[in-house]
Amino acid sequence: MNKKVKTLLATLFSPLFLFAQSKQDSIGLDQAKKSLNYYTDSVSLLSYNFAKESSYYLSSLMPNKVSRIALRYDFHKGHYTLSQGATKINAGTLLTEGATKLGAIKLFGAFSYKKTFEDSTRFSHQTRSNTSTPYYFGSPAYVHYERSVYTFKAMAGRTFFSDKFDIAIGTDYKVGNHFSTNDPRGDIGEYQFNLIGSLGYNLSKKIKIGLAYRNGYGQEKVNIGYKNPRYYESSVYPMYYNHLINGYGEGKPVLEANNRVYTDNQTREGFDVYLDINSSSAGNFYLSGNYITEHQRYFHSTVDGFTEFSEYDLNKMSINLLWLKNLQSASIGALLNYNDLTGKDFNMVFLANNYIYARNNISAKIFFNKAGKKIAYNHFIQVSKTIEESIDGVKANDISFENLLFVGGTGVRKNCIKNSFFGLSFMAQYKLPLNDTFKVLQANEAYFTRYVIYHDYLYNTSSHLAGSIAGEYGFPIFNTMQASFKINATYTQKLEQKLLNRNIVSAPGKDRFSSNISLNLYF
Amino acid sequence: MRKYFYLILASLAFASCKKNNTTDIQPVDVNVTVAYSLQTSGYQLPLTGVKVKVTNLDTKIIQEFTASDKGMLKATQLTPGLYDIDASIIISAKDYASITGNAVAKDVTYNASVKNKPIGVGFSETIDLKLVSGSIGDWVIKQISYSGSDRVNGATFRDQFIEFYNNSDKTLYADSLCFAETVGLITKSSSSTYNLLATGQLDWAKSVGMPANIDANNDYIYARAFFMIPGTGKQYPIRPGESIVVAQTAINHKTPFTGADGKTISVLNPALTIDLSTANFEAYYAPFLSKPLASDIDNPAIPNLKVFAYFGTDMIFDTGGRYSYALIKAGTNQNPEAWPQYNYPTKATPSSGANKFYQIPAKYVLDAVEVQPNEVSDRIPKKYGAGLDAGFAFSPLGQYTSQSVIRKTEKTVNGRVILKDTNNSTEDFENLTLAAPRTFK
Repeated sequence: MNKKVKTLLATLFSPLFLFAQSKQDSIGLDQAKKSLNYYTDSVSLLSYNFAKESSYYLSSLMPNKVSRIALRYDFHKGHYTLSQGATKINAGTLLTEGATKLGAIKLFGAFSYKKTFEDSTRFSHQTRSNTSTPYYFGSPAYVHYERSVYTFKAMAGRTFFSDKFDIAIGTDYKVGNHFSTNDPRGDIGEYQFNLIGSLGYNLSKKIKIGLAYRNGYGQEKVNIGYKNPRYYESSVYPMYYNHLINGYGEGKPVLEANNRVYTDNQTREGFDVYLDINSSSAGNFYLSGNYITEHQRYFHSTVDGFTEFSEYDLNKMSINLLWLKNLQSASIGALLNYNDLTGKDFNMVFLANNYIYARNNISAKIFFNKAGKKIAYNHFIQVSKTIEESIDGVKANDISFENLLFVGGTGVRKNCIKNSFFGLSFMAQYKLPLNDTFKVLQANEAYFTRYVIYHDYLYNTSSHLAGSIAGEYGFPIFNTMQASFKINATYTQKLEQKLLNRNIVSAPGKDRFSSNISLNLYF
Repeated sequence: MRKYFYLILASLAFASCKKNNTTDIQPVDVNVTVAYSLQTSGYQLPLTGVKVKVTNLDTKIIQEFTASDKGMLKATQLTPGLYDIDASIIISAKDYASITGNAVAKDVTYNASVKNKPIGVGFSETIDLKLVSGSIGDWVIKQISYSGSDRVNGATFRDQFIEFYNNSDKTLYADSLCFAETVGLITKSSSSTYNLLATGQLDWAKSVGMPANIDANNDYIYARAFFMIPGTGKQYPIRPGESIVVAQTAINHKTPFTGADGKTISVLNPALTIDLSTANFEAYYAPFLSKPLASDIDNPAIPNLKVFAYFGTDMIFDTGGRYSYALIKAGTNQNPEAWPQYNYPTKATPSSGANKFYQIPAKYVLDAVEVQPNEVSDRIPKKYGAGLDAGFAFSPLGQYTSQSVIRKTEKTVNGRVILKDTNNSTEDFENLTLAAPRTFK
């Protein structure tokens, strides 16, 4: 049995095992309400999501018992998006996740399946999980993409020596298939497997430190096919022929079937450091730092050997600080994030580094939750700053942007008779562009420059205002579970867009509408 | 609460900042010099105004530069890759006469080119372009339909033809005009088999038996198929602005016909092919083949070519565009059929039965058109120097697509179409979506 199948089986059954155990324990409606409250209280949800990021937090932040199954449908439409995005998306997701404790061992498991139909996407035969890649295929003509992605996540941990010391492991696995249904027909298979092992040590009742080691690997296999032979027999149809992008600039035609294929093997490794401080007066602080290096190798193997196309190294660093404080009849939380991602290629044509991608983001988010017997309030504000830069050396392209995002939201939940409830929430968002750099040689202007670089520059340097409204109705079901229907609608309106004195053939639209509806079962 | 928020905002503004990122490699500046390749240096032709076109073969992006009076220029910020670099200047007949003292009837075009030039990171070479004036004559090759039509729905290669045009203002005679499909290295992968020049093309000087006292590579071209139009000398007059069409098989390919084997040959989609029943001449190979091609039938109304050398079972042009074409008029007292033939210049000694190719003196070439494959990755080193054809033509859609290469119309004088002839097929030719004899573009 190969490594891939073993991994799949191990991760596939972990969440199911948890649910089976939950049944044995006959979780009643009280437990269902606890789970529901956990997901609807913004502060506890914040800590839960934080805990899911590392097995280190299983013992401290992961609840002892929480379970959810959700069925969700997403719909997005509008041209106010990145060039390589999709102008219309229909997606359905089945998600199950839960945590439980078996004796001294705490477990978390999650499984999701997402089927996505993307209309009108261009220049991007990609998985959408490796968007900074220097090496990919694409064409200016719009294609329809269908994607099926399965994810599995499992974590287990236990404490030793009177909770002085804890050890935990975690794994996540993703397998996906992506294909377009019109020429050029991309067919992309992917899998990702990641492991984490963590150690925690309580220096005192108030201070805990920890370490984690991460290791993972993955693969993306890309193949472009055609129904109409005219599109690969010659390069006279640039809208449809297969462009190879290798950096951040104009690509070149890659027509022959033997050349319209590559494999991207990925390996990654990293470590985390943790510091937790629990104070009865100031609240609980959870500080983590994380550094991961990833190596990607783009190649094609035949009976004659390997043909190397590109290498790409990514360095990811993140620093997170979570603060949670329970007040008399409310709770408050804050999350500070700093994420930095730098990617550098090694171009096999020039035998040198030609492409650099750099993105960093710093974000601060504050939550306030006031829960009463009949009515509960959630409020939050967030501000984040993002800087992104893409450089292609030999094409002399250097584009960067910097913007601030302000987000604020409020919500109320009213509990009614027989454990039913209504919830309503609002959110507003404003993007403010700050600085940018635009160095693009007009002499090199062709399809990628016109359809992607100019479009994305205009999108990333535009300001926008967004508002969303969400409603939820919850009710008990089968006397053991709590159910809720949730609906959310978001409208984003572009405010100002820069003037770019170039040949603009594709520009962001004026708005975008996003919505989702979900059925959630908590138990 | 508010002060904490402002504190966070302020810290955000400083905490995240853009780094100074630089890649290892940058675009390239390329120095180009242009000069005239003149046999005599008694006069100076102008360099100011020489246009240099730099074409990136991957992106098809073209940049144009103008040379200084010293013939120098710098093509700046080129993305490394493969490039075509073409230089040209048109000197008016009046200026040419005043500079050289030689009166000419037409403006004189000088060309130079370097094709498929790899320009890599750190490229420091200077590209030298030698401007030459080619033979700009009365006869021109007007159209070559070499691509064929669809393999399933069309006539495959059966509907190929070539068209010659009287571009002068006087009646010319087609009698004894010769034309050739010329050879060279056609697959880069086989280059190790041959003796090659620095250009990557065959070094004919190394052919077995080649005389040492001739310039075998520059003064001659080599043909795998070599034909002559019959005639008594003034049997086939062609008036100014008229063509002669030479067909592989002079029939209407749109309609079914009976092949030499008695079976019906037809096409599924007549719109993809053409009527060649009105061609002026056709090639007929059956008399010298033991097993003739079924589609090679003889149209008794159309005179047949004299065939000096042939390849295959009919006058089948290479549908991939790897060979080139030349129109030839041998000098008086010359017998083209008796011109010498040589083997490919292979590294190994050729066998006694190895193919030989006619050696045709370039001085007798009236017009030549280099043809290349449509995709850059398939292109091969040029067979013709700038004196014969500074550029090349190709059918962009590739083989079996019904396309032809056709010479552009330059102007019309008193109803007579004058075709563009600058001795650079890249500039002089474009395409017909469906080849059509005797039409203009």
